[in-house]
Amino acid sequence: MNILQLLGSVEIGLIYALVAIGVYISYRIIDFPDLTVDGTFTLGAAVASSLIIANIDPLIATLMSIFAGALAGMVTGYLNVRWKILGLLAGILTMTALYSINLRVMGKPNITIIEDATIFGSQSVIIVSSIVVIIFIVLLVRLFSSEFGLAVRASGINPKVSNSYGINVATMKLFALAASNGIVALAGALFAQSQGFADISMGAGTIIVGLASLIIGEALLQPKAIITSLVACVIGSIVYRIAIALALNANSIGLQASDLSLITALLVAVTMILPKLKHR
Amino acid sequence: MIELQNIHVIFNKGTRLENHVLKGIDLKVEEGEFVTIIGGNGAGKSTLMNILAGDITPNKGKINIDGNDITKLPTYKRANLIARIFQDPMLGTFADLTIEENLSLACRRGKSRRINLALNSNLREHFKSALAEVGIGLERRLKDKVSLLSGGQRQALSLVMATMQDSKILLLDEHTAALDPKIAKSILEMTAKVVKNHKLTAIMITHSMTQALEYGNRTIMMYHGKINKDMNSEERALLSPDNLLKFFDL
Amino acid sequence: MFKNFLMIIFSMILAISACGQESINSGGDKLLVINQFMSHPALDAVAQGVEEALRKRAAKVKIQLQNAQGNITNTVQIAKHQASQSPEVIVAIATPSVQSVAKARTNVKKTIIAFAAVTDPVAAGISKLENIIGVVDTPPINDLIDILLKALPDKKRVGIISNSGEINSIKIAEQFISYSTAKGLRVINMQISIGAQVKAAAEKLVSEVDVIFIPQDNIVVSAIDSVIQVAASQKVPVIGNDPSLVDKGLLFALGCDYFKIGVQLGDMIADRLENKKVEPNIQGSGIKEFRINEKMAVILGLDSQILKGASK
Repeated sequence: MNILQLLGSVEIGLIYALVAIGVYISYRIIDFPDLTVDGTFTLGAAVASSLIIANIDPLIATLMSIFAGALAGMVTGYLNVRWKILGLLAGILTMTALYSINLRVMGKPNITIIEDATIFGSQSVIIVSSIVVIIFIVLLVRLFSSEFGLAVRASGINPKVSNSYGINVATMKLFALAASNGIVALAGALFAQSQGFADISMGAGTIIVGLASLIIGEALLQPKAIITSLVACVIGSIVYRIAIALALNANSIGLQASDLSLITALLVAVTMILPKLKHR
Repeated sequence: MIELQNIHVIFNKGTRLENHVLKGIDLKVEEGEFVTIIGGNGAGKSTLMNILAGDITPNKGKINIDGNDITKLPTYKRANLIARIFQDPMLGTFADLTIEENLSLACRRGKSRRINLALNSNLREHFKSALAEVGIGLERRLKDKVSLLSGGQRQALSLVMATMQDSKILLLDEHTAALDPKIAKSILEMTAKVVKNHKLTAIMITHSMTQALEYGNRTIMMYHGKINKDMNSEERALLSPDNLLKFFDL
Repeated sequence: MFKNFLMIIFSMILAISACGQESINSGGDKLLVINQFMSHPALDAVAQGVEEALRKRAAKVKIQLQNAQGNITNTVQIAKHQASQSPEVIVAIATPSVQSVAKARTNVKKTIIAFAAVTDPVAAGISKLENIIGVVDTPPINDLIDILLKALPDKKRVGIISNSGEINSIKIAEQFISYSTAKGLRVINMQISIGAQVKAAAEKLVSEVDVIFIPQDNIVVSAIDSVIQVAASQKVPVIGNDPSLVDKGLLFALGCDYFKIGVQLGDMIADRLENKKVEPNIQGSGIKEFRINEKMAVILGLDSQILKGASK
């Protein structure tokens, strides 16, 4: 592998680190397997791209995409807490609806912004993404160290006892889902701006990539505190992309990019099963 | 003062499984009383506790605390008035969080959760002295995860958590039932001490007749959804556990 | 324990990839990489055509093909990977591939981008790029409609099943509607977004139209058997613009010959490799392919001679 390939992996890995962080918030902190992200990733890209085409400042366009993602997360949350729809299903419902919404936002299945100004300007994608990731890690660490953030964590760990300590578990869930999906939408917006286009199919498989990155990071760093967990998301995401790049290099044993889905699924499954075997 | 007026609870109303669990409970608990509740299985003790906590809404009747009607308030909205210790020590605290995080959460029971940092050195000092009260060394282990603690240690922690914030009533839901006898006894002693020191109003459910008579200053017996005996200290002093048996359907 | 397990897996992958490194300068051959968006008869045909043309021209190239399995992020990562190998030519097959390749290319002067299976390069944002050649497939929809009018003059109502998520599908449907309406046909367009909706769309259409048209797209094509079945049971012919689907039961199809498009692109690449100019750098493909399914003609009670005659 040469340095360019490594940098290419790091570049995608940093943007997808935000996806891993979003999945960490929903899956680990409030124990909610949230499939909405498959739709929110594309939503972020769609909103940012459409606004950029309409000559809106890219920074504002990106902020709007975070807002849109947060709304999508709250829809899923609302379906779950108000109507008691199973979390997994609520996420699928929102994700399915988002397909049509995203098409409406973009106007067509594929839009290009390759000639428009983006949030990256002329800076390197890696540098700007690193700054964004660091900013969000700092924000989230501060958030989860606050009374409010601790209450969010508590509601995911033990909803019944949280209730008895005056925590409105429903509100906590809504907040966490909004934050999680807002961050994933941001990732989508950054991805579109770094690649110059948004495509309706770009969100497919986002949850799996997020989970794989999260799990790899946790396996490598064994995090005990919030900050190490968030750093693990970043490391895991980059390692995952490097692993893919390595697999692409392994042409000689017949490994194809098409095998990547299988490998990813196996990786996630194995990492989820191993702790259970340990407990036997 | 806590007042229950004509509380009725019916599970599965209108179906074949209809169960009239509480049949018109009237109860007044004054400030500073420590009430023990005893009764056979199905007497309605746990349901009574759940009514007070807010986990169940009664079909009929009212709950007043200091004159305020809290009957329809969901659990989290009445948490400022009510502290509760659960039966299963493994589920009654936040096992994945540290001792100091658990105490911090307990501090804000019933209060708004702000963006301020949940922990600081002042709070830690406060936690240390509170934990020292129960004297089992937890004050030296603030940063340990609760999952490392034994059942008895967790119930002790729950006790301290209950005192982190004022309450109108402390609900003790057979909180020693899952502990082995020696530990159970020390937790009960601890409970009595804490209730006395902090001048708490408490209601304790227990299956043990000895416990029911030995602790607190008032004992209530429930039978098939009704209160059939309500004894103050003098009346209790005259009884032994064998006497109590007579009132049971055994 | 688990950390060790992971370390072992990692070292294995490292070891394998170390031996997997291709040496670029084997015998002075130039590196040509292909970034194919997904497996699909048309896209596969393009790749084959390119390779065939290069072989015929005895071009000194070493060819590497990567298939992104329809996943955008894979496309991007493959594009970056291929660009980092500093190839002479990157062949991009389909719109998302060419968009990713355009972004990933590091050496604009050295690396030629060659694309095919892109219907609208302007909308894709690649038409004004430097050092790019390509073949644009303009599906001969108007010609297909003319054939339909000649071959089945009594069929006045046409139904379309199109995919709202694919830009090609939308454009072809739009073009079909505008030309056929101008020619006096009535058109109903049923838009679907997932494969499961295709059969229902077909069932609705058979009662309201005389002919069904399937534009070339991935989702509808993946469910084509259900459309054929439903239509055949009501004796409604199905036509399309992808000749490779005729064997599946289309009555007839007129479309771009993607293999020949691949050959055209391969020739353009060979020209550039021989330092010849290629003008225009983005060309249309006039080559059409018309195919009839004789068996289907019999089932529908139609004379295949008349159909063949209509294409002249």
